[in-house]
Amino acid sequence: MVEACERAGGEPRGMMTGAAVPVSVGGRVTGIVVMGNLLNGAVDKVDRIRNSVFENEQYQGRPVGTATIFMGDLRISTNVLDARGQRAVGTRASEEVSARVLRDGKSWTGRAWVVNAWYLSQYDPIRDPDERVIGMLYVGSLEQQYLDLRTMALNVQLSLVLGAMLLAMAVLYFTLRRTIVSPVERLSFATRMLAQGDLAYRVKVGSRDEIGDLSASFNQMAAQLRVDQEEIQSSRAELSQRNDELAATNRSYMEMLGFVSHELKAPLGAATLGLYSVRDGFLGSLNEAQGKVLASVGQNLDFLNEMVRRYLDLSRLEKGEVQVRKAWVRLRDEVVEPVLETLAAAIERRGLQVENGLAPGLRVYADRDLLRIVYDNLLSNAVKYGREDGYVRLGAELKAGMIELSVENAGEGIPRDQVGRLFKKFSRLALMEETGQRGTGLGLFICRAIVEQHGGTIGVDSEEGRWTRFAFTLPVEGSTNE
Amino acid sequence: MMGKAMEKRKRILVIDDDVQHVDMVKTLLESVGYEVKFAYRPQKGLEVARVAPPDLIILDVMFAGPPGPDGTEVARMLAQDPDLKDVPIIMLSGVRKVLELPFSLSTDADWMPARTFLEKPIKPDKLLAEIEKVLGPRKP
Repeated sequence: MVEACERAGGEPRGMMTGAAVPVSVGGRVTGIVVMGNLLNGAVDKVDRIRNSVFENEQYQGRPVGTATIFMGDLRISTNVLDARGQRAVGTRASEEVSARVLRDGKSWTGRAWVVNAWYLSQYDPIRDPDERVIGMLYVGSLEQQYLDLRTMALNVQLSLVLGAMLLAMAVLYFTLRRTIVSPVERLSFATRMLAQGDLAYRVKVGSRDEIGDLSASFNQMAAQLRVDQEEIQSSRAELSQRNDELAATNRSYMEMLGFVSHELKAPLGAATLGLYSVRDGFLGSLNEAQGKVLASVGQNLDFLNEMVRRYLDLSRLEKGEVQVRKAWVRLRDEVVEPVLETLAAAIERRGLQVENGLAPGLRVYADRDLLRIVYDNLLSNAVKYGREDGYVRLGAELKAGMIELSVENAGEGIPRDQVGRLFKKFSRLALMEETGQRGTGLGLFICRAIVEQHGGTIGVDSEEGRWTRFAFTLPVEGSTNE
Repeated sequence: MMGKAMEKRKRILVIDDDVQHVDMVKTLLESVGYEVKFAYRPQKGLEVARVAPPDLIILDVMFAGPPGPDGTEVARMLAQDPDLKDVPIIMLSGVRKVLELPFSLSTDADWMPARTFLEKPIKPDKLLAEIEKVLGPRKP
């Protein structure tokens, strides 16, 4: 019997169900018959308990139900299997369970780690006839199946919730789409159409809410834009027509100017030669009064000649007749010196000192004759408006890939507020009127046109009461200063 | 003595269609002692030159009126005439050189119709100086 106990848990003690029956002989108890049923290793009992409760149900290769009889905290009979698939006899209950059931004599219900899996378990105390707790009866049900069941239930529930949510979202989406998104999309589309120039495009005003208001405002704006656009287009057409008319007027004006100037040129030329022949005494000597009068007439003829020359230049430039024929030009010899020569008399009369800072070898790639016109204008101005006995300085400097050519003179300078209109057609400066010098109001305009046709710019710098410096640039294009 | 002086006078032919200008040039040049012939048409100018080759020809460039050779073409014909090819030419024109002329007058051009180009309006001192450069100093 002890051996049987040791086999079933390595414990010499045993736990038994038992009964004691008095043996009476003739009304007198003569003995006691004691019967017992050893529970240690009594697997048939626990199996019977399990089968009566769980009908030997299996779940994923494990029995769903288990039953164990504990002697104290020692499993003496069980159908709980260990890792090797053996009945887990000889193992012990957890301290928590032992404490509650064995020490306190109360049932323990809950989730328990039984040998190698979680079980939903109930432990009940086993008492001896004196009500002492001597063991425990355990019945457990594998938790996994409940967990799986719960998981499944949860999944089902979750799917339902998700489905409902999706449905709700879909409903929301389509509702929003109809009430907000679509109108906004239509507005957005309409905006693009508008941006692409379709001012006739309108959005449908579907609702009486903010979106509807927005759509209505949009349509109003588009309508206004269309009106504005039409106004602008008609103004533009009008302007363009006006522009064409002006251009035509300008062209015919320039043609007339050119024609008149050309016609004036020949008689003026003959008059000039004739008058100066008399004035200079080639045709006989003059008295002082005659000389004075003829000198004055000569000055007027000079002015008229200059005027005619400038008008012809202007009319040719404006009619686009002037072609820039670029070639290598020795600036000093071919352009500046010939111009200075024509101005020699005036330079001497005004006592001017010409400081020609141009290197003799300086060559520029430009139209020689157009460049002469530029220097003619700039030098004529310097001689005319420069301070008497002052200087006229010519310079050349390389600046940022351009060659800058300058003509500077000592003089009153040009007031800042007059610089802006200096290069405009028919501009006249207060200064010119003060000095009593007549100008055509065209020279600088012509200079600018020529310089710009060469791909350069022209400007003026000045210090009032001291000096004036005109400078223009030409593309270098390999200009050399040998 | 008078006759001898007349013989020594240089003869200048002016070919120009501007009647007034021709008049002024003629008056000036004669007053300083040149003998002046003139023609208003290029073709007529060539005829006058062939009859009596001048010492100098003052030639306009552009001619109004019926179509005919212009000043540069006249210069070319003169250069091809064996009797006239050495007669110096001064071109005097209202035309502003390259601005209007159909050919380049730059110094490196293949052929030059004249050594001297003058622009109208011209003043007497300038014109006389240019003539003297070609013909030498005037007799006082």
